[in-house]
Amino acid sequence: MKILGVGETRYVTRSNRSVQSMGTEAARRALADSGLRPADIDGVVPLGGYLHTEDIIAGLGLSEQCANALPPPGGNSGVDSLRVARALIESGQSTAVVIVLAKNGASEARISERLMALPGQQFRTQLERPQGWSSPVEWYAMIARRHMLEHGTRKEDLAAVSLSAYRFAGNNPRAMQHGKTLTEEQYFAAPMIADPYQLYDCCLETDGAAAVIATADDVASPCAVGVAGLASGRPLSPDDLTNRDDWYQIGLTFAAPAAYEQAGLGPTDIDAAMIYDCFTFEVIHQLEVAGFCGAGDGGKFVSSGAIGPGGRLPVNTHGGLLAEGHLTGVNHVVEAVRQLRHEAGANQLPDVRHVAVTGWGDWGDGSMAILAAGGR
Amino acid sequence: MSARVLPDTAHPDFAPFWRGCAERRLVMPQCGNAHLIWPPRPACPLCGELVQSWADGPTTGRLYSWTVVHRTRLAWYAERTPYVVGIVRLDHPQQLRMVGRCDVAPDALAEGLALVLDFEDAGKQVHVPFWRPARSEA
Repeated sequence: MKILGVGETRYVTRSNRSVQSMGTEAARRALADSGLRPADIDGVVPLGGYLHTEDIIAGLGLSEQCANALPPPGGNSGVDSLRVARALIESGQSTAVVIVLAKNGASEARISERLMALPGQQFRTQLERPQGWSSPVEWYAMIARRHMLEHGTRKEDLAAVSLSAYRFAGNNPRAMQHGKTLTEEQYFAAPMIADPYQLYDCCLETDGAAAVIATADDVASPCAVGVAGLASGRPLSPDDLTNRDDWYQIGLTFAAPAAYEQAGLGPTDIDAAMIYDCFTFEVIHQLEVAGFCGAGDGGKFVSSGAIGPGGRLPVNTHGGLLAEGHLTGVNHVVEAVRQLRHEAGANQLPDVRHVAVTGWGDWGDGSMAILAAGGR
Repeated sequence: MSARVLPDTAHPDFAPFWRGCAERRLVMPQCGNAHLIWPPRPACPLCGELVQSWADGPTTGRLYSWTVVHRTRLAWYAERTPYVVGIVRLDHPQQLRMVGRCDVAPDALAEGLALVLDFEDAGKQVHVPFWRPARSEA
């Protein structure tokens, strides 16, 4: 499978627009970017749980013959939507698929309201909310704290992830935090949310839309980016964080080796990574699980400068969910495509051939896509 | 004063647990091979056997991880921030872990802190478990 086009709306906190309007704009921009026409699209993957397939069919004027499929709605769906698109293409149901996320995630459907739709509600209502444990920042803080105890990961390492995201966002006109600087002093002075997570450890909430056009491998296009490896998985206890034998086991534990194997590549072949950064420690966690550094070494890795411009593995060169916007990781796919086409503006990396993109959602669902320059 | 959000203690997968809490006991589902199961599931994650009975579990454990919550959308808890929620590894060969509010001062939090399970009357005949330091029992 190849990616032929990407597109988005502006990322804002108050769109005053419907998700149908924003989804249609992002999809039309992606279509224009791909060089395809609406009549070429015969597959629709809406993700996130806000848009219907019919919104996209109506917005783009697609044929009534479109196939459709939906990934589960959590944060893993940005990358998992590529897997669903590939399944439509490889099964012969579609030749060109439009993937669309649109949401008013800041002004309307805030993250707190999405939580009731996640799996394992019986544990939430019976065991967790009565104890005061009720939101992703509190859930994932437990993983971060344990890593700090076991591996000596420091608050300064969490800060390094946030500061790096804000530095990249400062160069990215699309980023919600474009033009805003974040200093280490500001990071540490920000309100505590759920220790060790302070305000700047947490992703943004965003109104906006992003879209991707994917096609079969035999479509020739000078702007194509290849999907060299792609896999998605869940941890062994996919509805509960508290009881898994390996505390750090996540979907990416299974997905990363599968994606590397498909691509015939390993972690050292990857030039940049777009890591699902709902919270700062989850970047460190996934860098370890994806093999970019050793288990337990993620804190040292991010503080070494490795994830910044010119580092061994620049991470989230758009600013990520932390500083560009929360587009459920579709913006990570968009940025990977732009890097591989050398269209990434001031944050463009030299000599970038392979970019890994990860997804993370719910209780650690995870995925990895390895995108390759030149359609290979 | 905000009302506390309380669980439906008649939920069929949890009712014996809540009846146990009212008697100050930790009652957990057990499979046909006598493994304790936590959180409650219809089948045992270790061996796949279905739940066959309910049994008393350990009421002591060690702090495994924690967060100090400063902001929450739970109204009752929002009036009580900051508060501590911990993951507690139970003193039991299976090393099951349980999430719970910990009545521990933030500066006393430490890996492996010995805790005992206690129960508070939350009204409406619901008794909610929480953890407190073991040494304060003396």
